[in-house]
Amino acid sequence: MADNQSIEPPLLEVNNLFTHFDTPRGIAHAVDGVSFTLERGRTLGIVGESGSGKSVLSRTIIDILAKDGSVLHEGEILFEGRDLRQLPEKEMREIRGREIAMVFQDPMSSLNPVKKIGKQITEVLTKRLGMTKQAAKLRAAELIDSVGIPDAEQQLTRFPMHLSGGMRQRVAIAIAMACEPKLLIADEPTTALDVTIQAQILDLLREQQRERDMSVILITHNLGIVSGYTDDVAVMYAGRIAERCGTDELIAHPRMPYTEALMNSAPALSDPPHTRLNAIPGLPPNLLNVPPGCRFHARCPYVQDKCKSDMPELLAEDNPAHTFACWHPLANGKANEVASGGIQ
Amino acid sequence: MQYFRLKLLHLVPVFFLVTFASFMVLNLLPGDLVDAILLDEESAPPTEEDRQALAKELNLDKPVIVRYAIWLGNMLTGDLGRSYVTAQPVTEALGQRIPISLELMLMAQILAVLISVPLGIISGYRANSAFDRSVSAGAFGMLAIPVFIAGTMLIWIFAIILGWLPSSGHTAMSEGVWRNLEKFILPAFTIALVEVPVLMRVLRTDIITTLQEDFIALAKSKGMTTSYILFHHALRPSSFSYVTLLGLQLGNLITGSIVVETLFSIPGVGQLLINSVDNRDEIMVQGVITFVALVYVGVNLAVDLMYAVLDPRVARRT
Repeated sequence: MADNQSIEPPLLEVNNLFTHFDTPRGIAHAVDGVSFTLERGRTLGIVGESGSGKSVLSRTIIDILAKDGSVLHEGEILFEGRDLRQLPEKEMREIRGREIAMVFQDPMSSLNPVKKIGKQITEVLTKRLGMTKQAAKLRAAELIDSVGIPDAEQQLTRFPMHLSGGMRQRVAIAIAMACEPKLLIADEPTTALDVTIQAQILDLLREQQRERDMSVILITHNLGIVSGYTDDVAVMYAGRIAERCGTDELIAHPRMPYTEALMNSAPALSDPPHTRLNAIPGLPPNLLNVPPGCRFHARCPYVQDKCKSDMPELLAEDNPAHTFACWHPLANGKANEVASGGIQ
Repeated sequence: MQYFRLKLLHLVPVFFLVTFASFMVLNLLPGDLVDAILLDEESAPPTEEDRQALAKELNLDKPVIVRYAIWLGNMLTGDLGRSYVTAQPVTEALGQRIPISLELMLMAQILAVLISVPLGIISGYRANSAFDRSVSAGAFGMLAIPVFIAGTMLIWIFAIILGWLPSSGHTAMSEGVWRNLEKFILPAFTIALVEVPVLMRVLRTDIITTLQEDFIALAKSKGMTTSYILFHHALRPSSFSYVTLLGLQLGNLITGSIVVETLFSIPGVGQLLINSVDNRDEIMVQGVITFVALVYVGVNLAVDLMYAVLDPRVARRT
């Protein structure tokens, strides 16, 4: 396994990626110099507030943003070593759905309301894999069954309106799985769902990932989901990655004040009723007019003069697998000292 | 089915209201109908007996509400009366004209759909591109040109300069399909030219909205081709206003093609209406209006049913 990885390029390597929107009010810096790698079979969580650029990042990778000249890109998206941005549209279409698939946030709006569920699955199979209609129908029923929807064959003739939100999201996952993609991008797949359904959908995603040895990018604003379902995390803020490391490491030793603030703002079940929610003061910066220096400085409780003028790079300190962009990171927690002391 | 019955029920009162109102309005026309009919003839001035006999024959001596009731009763048995002028049964006159108007209308609508759907989809997909802007400019230009000007221009270009198509008249289908069709091409195209700009703009707007939907993003992420997405995913959810408008235009056309029928000398329902109004042939006018009301009601029902076909959620809500 280790040998394999050293020979093959990582599944996905994003290098210094920019996505800017040319709007009438100026350039919106939605994704502003993002780099990360994702190995096969791993799950990367991307966390951040609304407007941090997470969704735009995912739509840039699978290349479904408008192509009318209003969206500007720069940088590399290497998928198995090939730069997706250099591929002609025809080849990119081969990648979409077959190699990289996507599950969207709101299953109420991501399925076509006037098409039968069966058709929405079989069209991928017949158009992309060249299956016959009959074979595609059988396969679609299998897929429906594999995502835990009962009476699979009957479901094929139903419309999305006949299904609940959770069931629709299962259908969306079945569609994404149709061509056995190597990478699944799940853009807030549970945000629009009932809390009790959330865990079911996330478990289903994990199960599908293990069965198919697929890599997953799980986009969420919920650190609780990240801690339970991802191997690595990238925390995004205002179009840039603010902190990146293994999930356990991030939960145990957040270094970037923004990560800490995010953690503090998640309500705990153990809180007594009517506990005031801990919100991060202020708003994320306007992406049309990004402030100089660290993008978080206006809201950071530890802000210093340097933070207001110089932009910190995403760098590691003592642990090479833990990078963060901060001039004055939080101290490596006590737990860490004890642990490293133990090793010595 | 429930949905269908409900819609059908709505349309019954509409039909009665229209025929009643038209009957009343026709009754308000100034002048004495008996005089109008008798004076048209070249014989000697009518005597008082003649006048009374005719009035009795046409039930004109009875109050208007009774006449409506009589007319309604006959209508329900399929008898719309006889022309005051030619004594031809109204149903027979309509029967001769309707197929001609229907053919013109269908050809015009088919042309309008064939032109407006691709234009609307492409300009919606490429909104604000050079293509979209030139199509829009052309559309607004077309909107500003009255139908008789457009028709005259087409006659001038295709019939006079190029000599490709006949400029006017009507030939029965029995004398050859092509000879029948070729006379409809220019008038149908004239009507289509007037309809296309509106249809196209409506479809364009809805396509732009639909293309913002998540299910379009999902279809893209499935690797579907652009043309497949536009025609198979975006068109149907975008076609509500389009179908409504198409239905309204269909209703308008049955009489609204009067100008075109006159311009191209096509003996359709529109011409029948105009001639009957000229001759004060009130019973014929009433017959044409009844037919038009039926068409409107039928088209509206068809449009409502189309909604349910286009979007399964509609049938479910009622």
